[in-house]
Amino acid sequence: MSKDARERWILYALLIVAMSFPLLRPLGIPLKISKECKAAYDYIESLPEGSTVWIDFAYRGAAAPESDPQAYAVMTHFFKKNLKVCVFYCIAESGPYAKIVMETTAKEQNKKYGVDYIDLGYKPDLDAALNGMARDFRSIFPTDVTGKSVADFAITKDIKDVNSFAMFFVLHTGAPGIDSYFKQIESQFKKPLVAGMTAVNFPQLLPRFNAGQLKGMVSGVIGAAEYELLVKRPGRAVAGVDAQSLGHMLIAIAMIVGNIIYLRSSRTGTKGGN
Amino acid sequence: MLPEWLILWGGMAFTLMVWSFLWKTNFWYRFAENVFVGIGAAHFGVVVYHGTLVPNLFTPLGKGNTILLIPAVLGLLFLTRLMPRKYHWMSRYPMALTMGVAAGTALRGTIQGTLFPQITAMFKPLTTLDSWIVLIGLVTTVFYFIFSLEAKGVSKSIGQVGRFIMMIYFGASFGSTVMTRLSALLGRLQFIFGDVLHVMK
Repeated sequence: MSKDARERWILYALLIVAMSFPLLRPLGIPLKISKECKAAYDYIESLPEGSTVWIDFAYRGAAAPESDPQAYAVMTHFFKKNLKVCVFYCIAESGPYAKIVMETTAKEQNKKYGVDYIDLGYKPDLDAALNGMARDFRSIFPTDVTGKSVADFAITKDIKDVNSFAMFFVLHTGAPGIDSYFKQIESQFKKPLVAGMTAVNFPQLLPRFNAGQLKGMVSGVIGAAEYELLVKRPGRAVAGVDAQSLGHMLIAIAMIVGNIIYLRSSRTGTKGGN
Repeated sequence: MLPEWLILWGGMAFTLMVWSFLWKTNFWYRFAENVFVGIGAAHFGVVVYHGTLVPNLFTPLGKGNTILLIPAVLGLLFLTRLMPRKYHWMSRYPMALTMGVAAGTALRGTIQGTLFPQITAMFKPLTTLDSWIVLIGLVTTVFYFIFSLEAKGVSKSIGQVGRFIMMIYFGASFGSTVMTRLSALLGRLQFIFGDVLHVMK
């Protein structure tokens, strides 16, 4: 094995050990609720009971470790607040994730399909779907995911257009995602938007929160853990905070050590910096 | 329906197959990759058929809504790309329509949904340190991209401040990327220790 490959493997091994250890023996690193996450919680908390809300599971398997805990926490909050939840996904692969989250949280909170929540399924071309739905809901969603008419469900029988929804929540990971909601929903109809997102999307969306275009943000595993604490449903995210923190620490140390070695080797004129 | 133990241990086996790529590209990694792509494509086809084509096309057509034949035919014209080259021109009509609709729906929303709100958000009273940092960051970063002005003297210095501000953003963005990648690893570790081995506390 080459020197490069050996050094890479040492880092991989250290990372796996550092992140596995707290999963087997939790450290209890304290967690502070961020203002963006608290804003999301407060906004949903302020909605009147019985309001209809929209949630888009816009994530694939690669983002599930971050988006799944967010989805569990937010769906729990929706149900605890007795909100009516319309579940949609703009990515076809999201269906199974949405179904598991929906059914688990509905069972925990004793909610009924068709009355308290509904699965509207997947539609391609998010911009066009939102644009059409905003003007005529049934032209885009004539049926639920099982093929039954939305007119036959208590939750959707009175939904006409975008004004039937009190809020839109997007579990954003990339494209298609929340950009379409800014373009088709928030800007044109002034409907409130709240987002859950992978940590990598947080810096890009922070200006939207500061500009008031997002009412709240739940970012990554840490955000999901904060939300789990807020809704008093500690789950996978809270359990993963220690591991995530140790992983970050290790990466930071590796970067510092790597740069010191690089600087020393460049000063002495030897080849280095790996 | 597959038994749960098979799903869990199968999931763990596929996780290890994908991780084996860290060593080097090998048969097991390629096997897992091909299975994933195959299942993904099949799942997508089934979801689109049952979730879109049936409720939004076949059922309304069956009820006599014949106007939907137009988008149906346009959609089928896309498939002429799979035919010999002399028929490819037919796919340009639905392509042009798709591009036109996409541009039309996006344009208004982009101006109203991104440009105006973000510019408006800049006009805030300069009463806090944050608002000063935002203003300086905005002006110097925009200055960096003024290419019609030769970068020397004061203009070069302003541009360099903008460059420094962008570096801070790139650093934050890279940090967030690391967080997301570690979360992916965390998800797999929780799956192995929690769901499969039941040793997670």
